Amino acid sequence: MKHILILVILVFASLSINGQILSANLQASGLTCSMCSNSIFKALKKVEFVDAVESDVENSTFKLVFKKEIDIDFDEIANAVVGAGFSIAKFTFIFSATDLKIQDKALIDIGGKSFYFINVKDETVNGETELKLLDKQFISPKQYNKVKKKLYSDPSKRVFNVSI
Amino acid sequence: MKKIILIFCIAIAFNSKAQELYVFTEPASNIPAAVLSARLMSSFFKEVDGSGTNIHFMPELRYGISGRLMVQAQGYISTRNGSLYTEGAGIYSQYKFLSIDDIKQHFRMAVFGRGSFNRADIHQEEIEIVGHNTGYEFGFISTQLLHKVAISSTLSYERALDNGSAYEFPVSQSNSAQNYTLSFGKLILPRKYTSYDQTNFNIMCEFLGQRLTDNGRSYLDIAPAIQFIIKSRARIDIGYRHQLYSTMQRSAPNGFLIRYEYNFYNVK
Repeated sequence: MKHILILVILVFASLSINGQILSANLQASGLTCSMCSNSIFKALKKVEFVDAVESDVENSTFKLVFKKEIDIDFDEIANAVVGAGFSIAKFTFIFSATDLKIQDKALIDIGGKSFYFINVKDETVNGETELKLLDKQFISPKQYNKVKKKLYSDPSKRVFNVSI
Repeated sequence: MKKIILIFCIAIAFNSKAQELYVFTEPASNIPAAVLSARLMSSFFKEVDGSGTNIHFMPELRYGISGRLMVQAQGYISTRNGSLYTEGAGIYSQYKFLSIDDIKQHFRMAVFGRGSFNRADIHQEEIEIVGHNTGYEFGFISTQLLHKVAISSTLSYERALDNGSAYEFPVSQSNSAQNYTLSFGKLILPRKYTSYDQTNFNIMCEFLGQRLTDNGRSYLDIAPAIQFIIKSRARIDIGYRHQLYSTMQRSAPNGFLIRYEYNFYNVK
């Protein structure tokens, strides 16, 4: 019975309306100087679907604005940062939601990608909504240890774990 | 001079942020991937026998192959025998095998290896394959960055070979050594970053030691340095190296070093 209930929730959840992913904010870690920050900045600017990058050198944060109507690949952003020799400590993204029903422990489709929601209240969101990625390469080791038992993974497709 | 060095090194214990771009050693953090770094280093070390100043020029290219692997090539030019003379060249590679990153805090470990050729005469017991001896070196680097200070340590094994066919390594000397270093670094300015155009001012204090395998002779140097980073692209290092003690014969242990570095990003 429990499994059927989960299945029903998943089916309903996946029927939710997709949203365009507009921008992202990431905080890099493992860097000590403005030259490190500059190399991340330049690596992010080279990512194909990134339209613009703004950096805050003091806090090692980068705001990415994405090109419209193009597939956004979060893993490619992580590869740009990690590939340069650094890590991501925090990654959030903003998408436009239209009557999107969010439920805890539910798989939901946004912008053609699968997201699994953790530690959220059941609610319906509208307008620009920010979500935080919880997968290993998008959070600090300390944060990862706190959430790793709750993460969902599916070997057959890429599922991003998120929270609000 | 010793008092100035002491005050300088104590100053490192204060002030705000850490910095690990050491002048006399490498941190375990590699240069970022796809960054090509061109360097020119000049050193001016006073000969202990009073014959003047031993000047070296060392042009260098470094490249980040990936976030974990970097390579470097370096030329050794000296004025030791009067005019400019190309004594040799060396290659270096460093692989970062551990990286635990957090915000403004990280721990990294790397292994490195260096091979050098040098055709100059062998004139001291100290083994230095960067600019003096033909030979090789390999070792470990650990770098810990805490909020206030970056601490790095290197342990390595260095082996000297004959300097070409003309200068055999003296059989009376130890041809291998263990090197150990301990470095501290601080960011002094800016107090708050607002753009990539700000000039950074960093200070470092490093301890550089060597022990010869065969006879146990050793030295320990202290090496304070200042550093400017300009427009997040270029770097100027000015360092001074001073012998604290030595039981081995060294031709020019005390002197200055100046280095200019310029970085090219996204070089693929």
